[in-house]
Amino acid sequence: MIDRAWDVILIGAGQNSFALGTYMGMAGLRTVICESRLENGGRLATEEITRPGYWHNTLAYFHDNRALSPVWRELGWDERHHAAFHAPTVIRSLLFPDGRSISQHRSLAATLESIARFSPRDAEVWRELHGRYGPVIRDVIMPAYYEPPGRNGGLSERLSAVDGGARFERLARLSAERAVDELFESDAVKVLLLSQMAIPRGFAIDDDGGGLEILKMIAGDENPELARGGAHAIAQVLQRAYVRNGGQIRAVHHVDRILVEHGRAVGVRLRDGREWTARRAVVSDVDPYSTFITMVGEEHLDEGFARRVKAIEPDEFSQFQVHLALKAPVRYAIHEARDPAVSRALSVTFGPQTVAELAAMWNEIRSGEFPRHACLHAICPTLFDPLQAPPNRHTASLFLPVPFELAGRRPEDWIRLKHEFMERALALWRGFATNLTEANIEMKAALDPFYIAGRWPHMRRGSVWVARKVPGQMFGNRPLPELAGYRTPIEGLYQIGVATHPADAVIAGSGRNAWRVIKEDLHLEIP
Amino acid sequence: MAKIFEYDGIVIGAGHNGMICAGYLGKSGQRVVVVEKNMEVGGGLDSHEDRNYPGFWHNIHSVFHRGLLMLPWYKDLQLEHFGIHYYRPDPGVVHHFLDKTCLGWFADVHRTVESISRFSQRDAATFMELWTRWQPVVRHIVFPETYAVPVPFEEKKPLLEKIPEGREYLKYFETTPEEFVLEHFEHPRVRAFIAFLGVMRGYELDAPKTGYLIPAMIAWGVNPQLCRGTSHALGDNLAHMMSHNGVDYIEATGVERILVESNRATGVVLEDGTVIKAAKFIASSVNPVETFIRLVGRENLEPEFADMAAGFRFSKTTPIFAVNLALNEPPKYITEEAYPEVAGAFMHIVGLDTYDDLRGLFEDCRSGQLPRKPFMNGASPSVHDPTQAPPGKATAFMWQLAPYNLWGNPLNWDEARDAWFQKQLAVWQRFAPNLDDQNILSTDSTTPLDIERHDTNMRYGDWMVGEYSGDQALENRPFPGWSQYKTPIEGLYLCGSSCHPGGNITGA
Repeated sequence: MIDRAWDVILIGAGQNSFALGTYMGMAGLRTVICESRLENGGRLATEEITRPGYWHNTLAYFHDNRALSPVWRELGWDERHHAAFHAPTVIRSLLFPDGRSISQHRSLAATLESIARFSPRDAEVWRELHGRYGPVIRDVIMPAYYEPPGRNGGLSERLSAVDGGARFERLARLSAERAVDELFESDAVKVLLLSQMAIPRGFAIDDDGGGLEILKMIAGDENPELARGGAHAIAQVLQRAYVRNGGQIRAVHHVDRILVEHGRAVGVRLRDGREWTARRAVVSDVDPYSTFITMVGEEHLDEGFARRVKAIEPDEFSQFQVHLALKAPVRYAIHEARDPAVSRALSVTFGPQTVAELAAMWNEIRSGEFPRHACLHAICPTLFDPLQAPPNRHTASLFLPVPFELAGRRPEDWIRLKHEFMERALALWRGFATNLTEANIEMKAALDPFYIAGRWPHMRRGSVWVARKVPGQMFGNRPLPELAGYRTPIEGLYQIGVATHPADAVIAGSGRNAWRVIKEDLHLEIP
Repeated sequence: MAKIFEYDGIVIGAGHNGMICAGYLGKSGQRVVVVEKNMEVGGGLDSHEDRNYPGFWHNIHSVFHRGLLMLPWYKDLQLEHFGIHYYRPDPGVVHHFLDKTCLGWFADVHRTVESISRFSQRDAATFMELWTRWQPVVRHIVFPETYAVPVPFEEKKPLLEKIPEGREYLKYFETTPEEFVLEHFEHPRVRAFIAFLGVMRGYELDAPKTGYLIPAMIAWGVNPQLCRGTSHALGDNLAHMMSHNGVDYIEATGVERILVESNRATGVVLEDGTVIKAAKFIASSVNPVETFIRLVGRENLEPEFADMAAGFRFSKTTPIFAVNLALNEPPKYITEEAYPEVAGAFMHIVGLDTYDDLRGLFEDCRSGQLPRKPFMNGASPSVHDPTQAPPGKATAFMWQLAPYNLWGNPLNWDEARDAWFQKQLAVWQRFAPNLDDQNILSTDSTTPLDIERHDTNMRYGDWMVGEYSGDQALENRPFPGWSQYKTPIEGLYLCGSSCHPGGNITGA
């Protein structure tokens, strides 16, 4: 029995497991990752869900901050493993029904010019925020993402030590909505920012703490990129680095139980009954509910802790997606004629024109309604990377926030309803896109919240961020104060993943941070 | 700015053959990179999740792996180290008939013979006799030949004539599978059973010099096995094996062309402009038409060779139409009542009654018509490997051999898909009546055109990657005179299914 004993067993083949496993491999530990799905990479998924030959990103579709990430450098996730990226010059465009649009460019000057068309004052504010807070984000926020929370003092202390830090912190703690109200006058600028809060960033506009996301969007120089071939290519790169460093992966291996003896995690039991020993540690990259309630079992947990784990709040929303296999790329002819930037945008947003309409969307989502004031995000990756479709063909995808459960329905009712909602979303898309005719569409497919929750079981209730991003569940509180340092009440068991700090605000943050903690616990003398 | 990389060698295509080739090279210390145009490695080892219900995995066109654990590369490359596991259900095959009788192929030859004897005592005796007589032929000739560089017939003939196994092999070498089956077996159902199993692995009924494959199959056994965690798990594990052996690979980016300088292959240019230089070799696992006509280019080839490459034939009878189901419970066959062992069988054959049905199907495939009489083979993988479906649920599929060029144009499949799906399902339901609306959660289908869309190496939906018949078999594969995996371009080698020994998961 080759597989029976390991130094470390990692549960879930997400980016954080790959990062942590690679550091462990470099330190000489013998590790295995058990993944319940066939494909690695969790949300780094790219699949042929419409027609063979057309690749669609079914969750993550772009990636920020690669240049600022120490993990890329330390683990050689670069050309050594053939990672390649495309960097669109226009990051996003927000379209209005009257043909106008506002765009955020990679170039600050171009962004300011686009904003100035709506409000010269707001352009000036944006410029000032970018200049003042760029260094704060680079020197304080990003480093805080790449260390266990609470190390090197609290974030407040460090912010208070830098120029402008106090005001930054005050703005960061506001809700996104209050932050933009305080900073800007134009609804176009406010909606450009607020429309990005749910997808891709995981915040409701009225959640406290969303202000930080606004500041990051303006001053963070996040440089979103598309991985060559699709998001899953990143998972392949991570996997190669991990295996090259001695790591092993077992796909379609469901962990049923984490074995606990005398309060210590000693191994796992797989669904087919096999039991594997972990000599040094067990690490869970799945959601805390599955880790503790399902796999460890309440009999090994303090009653209060079990109750708090069950009370971790999921996102208030899930996602509905439409994927198209196309003959011609999506065009927004009316908007492109007025500003060609729209034709070069990585993502195109439309639907809301005012903050009030976004607020209405949140009311609708919270009352279990498929939003009438929908906020839609469209991408056409083949404009930048033709390899994601057959020659002279294209793919496009649409993402919108929706409730996990529609009022009066069961989650599985999505299966029956999804075609109707797909047509509804397409009709909204056609209000802006000028060539999405039936003749142009070779095939279409919808992904609904029930499907997302079933396919990525750790995204309980279709909650992409697993633990809702509110102050009570962020930084040193993520997802609970007693789990924020990656250690858990069970000795030898560690919790990483999107539910822990820094919530995938940066790639593989919790994997790298947990390595610092585990390295200390295992008394490993390595850098 | 195009990036430039330098390696000792490049392997084009991360199908199982390309990966195994790269694994050996990496293990021997060569710096190798594999270039794959799809996002997923594995080529035909392709599995995907049901589009409506998560947690159900469908294996698209490779399920029945044969005796993998005894293959040389499996041991050489220590694949057990990467977690591969195979299930070996018994019986391997059950062929059902509407009168609730069935034929079975078991691990124990005596049970197979007993099952045949229910239809024909004479056929049962013939089967047993062939099984016995061909044991040494398989062990000493057929199996080693599969894993060796093919030897020209004129050279091997005198050697074979010296030994009894060799004379036995030669006796049937010139025949076709059809001739062999009709000559040796009498019962229409037994003929259909043996001939279908013989050709379903990508061979032709009437191809000369392949008749010996039938007694070889009888002696070797059909013995289909199921890869734990779907067929794609084998592809993934081969990728891990490559990484472990220091091999790099690039996904989602195909080769645009092979660089040739003074008749030597020196590197490749990828579709995104990336250049990779190869100091020693390039091995292409894609078919000869792609390799020579598209990647090397006629300008670098002698006209006769280019014409020969362009004329490489693809099979018209290997493409399949697949029906995939997500189920509450696995199919329950009408034969189970009388033969309880059917419940644990792996491959199920339904709708095939006589040898003439098979011949009719081959005619239909070649003339581009929908099969006049549907008959299929399939399985319920989750019965043997519960991880392929959510707890308590099931997956099942049925494959129909079908033409690629339907009514003269493969695009017709996009129109014909739904109606044909219903027809195929209706036949299956007669044999497994519990496949009703209550049981079926979700359905999915793959046409011969979809096979090519997913993997353009399987041109015309031919997963055998080249018709397997006399002038494209053994030492003539892919071309007479070019079976040594070498090519007219120095430093360029072929290593895919278009070479000896052909398609299927042989990894040779």
